[in-house]
Amino acid sequence: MNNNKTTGQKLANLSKGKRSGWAEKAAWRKANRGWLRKSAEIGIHILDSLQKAGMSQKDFSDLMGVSAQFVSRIARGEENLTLQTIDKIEKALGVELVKVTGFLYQAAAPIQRAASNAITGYGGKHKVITTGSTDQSNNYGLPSNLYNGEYKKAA
Amino acid sequence: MEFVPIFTVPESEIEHSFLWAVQFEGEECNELERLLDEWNDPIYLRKFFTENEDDLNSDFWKPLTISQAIFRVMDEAEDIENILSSVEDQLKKGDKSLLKETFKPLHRFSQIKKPQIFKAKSDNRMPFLRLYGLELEDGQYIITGGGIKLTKTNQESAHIALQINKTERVKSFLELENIFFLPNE
Repeated sequence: MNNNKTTGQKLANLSKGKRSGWAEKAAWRKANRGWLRKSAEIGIHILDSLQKAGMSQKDFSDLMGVSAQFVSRIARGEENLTLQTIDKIEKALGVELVKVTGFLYQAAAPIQRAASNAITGYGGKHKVITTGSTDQSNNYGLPSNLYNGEYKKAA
Repeated sequence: MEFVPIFTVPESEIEHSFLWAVQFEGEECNELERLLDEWNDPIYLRKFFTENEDDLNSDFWKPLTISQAIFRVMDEAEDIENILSSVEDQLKKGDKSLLKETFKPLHRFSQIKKPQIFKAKSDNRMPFLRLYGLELEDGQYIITGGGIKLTKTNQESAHIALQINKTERVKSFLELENIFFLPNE
């Protein structure tokens, strides 16, 4: 008779053999906590930026040329983003999502842009050369051959 | 309506799980798993706090931004996961004291003792998160729902009241299965 069973036995009969996946998910979240939190911060920042710009996630996925599912995973903080993808998002939204703090080199904006342009495709064909004028009073501690405010394609 | 054991136990010992969660029809997973997923989902949390921004801006919580609230929920969810892991460790040693300590009666001073609706919360002094459920005979507990409590009382919050009402649905179902609740003291 059902009434002779314990409450646990009665519940076991109603369980249909299912198991909860919460513990595995919790263990995974714990093991990956560091990047998941950073990723969630990026996701929230993106959602805030989209709201300010009056853009939907669909608009954003079209702009980025990626799937809506990928954008959803980014916004949920589930994507372990590469720096390349972060840079692409920053450019698309016109915001800074990630900043390396405590780093010595902080070039002024125009120089950063010049460097960024020159280093595109960096892989041995481009190198930094020391020509042109340089504000030696603010070379951020870098040797003059590495910092001169101007990058040029090697001959 | 199905009941899922929360702790990993051998099939032969499933009746000694002691903690269960309801899986409502149409849901992909049980209530505990569903809630923990929601409480770790920035999109869900941002939408929730945007919709309930008035409660968040009340004197009860002020000052707390939506972003701060989101990370607070994620921290509390992690607390709850850690507590449940500790409960499981103790249960494996045959100790049910932490299980009882974690799931406390909802109404401390209520005369209504049957069914015993419980709540569980994180260690925070003023936690956002609640799990609700029923305490059954034989020391078994069932999680029936939960939510983010932003108001001082449960009655002030429609979504929390809804979650507590879900226990009534579960209670009616269990009574039909001859499963009863902690007797009146």
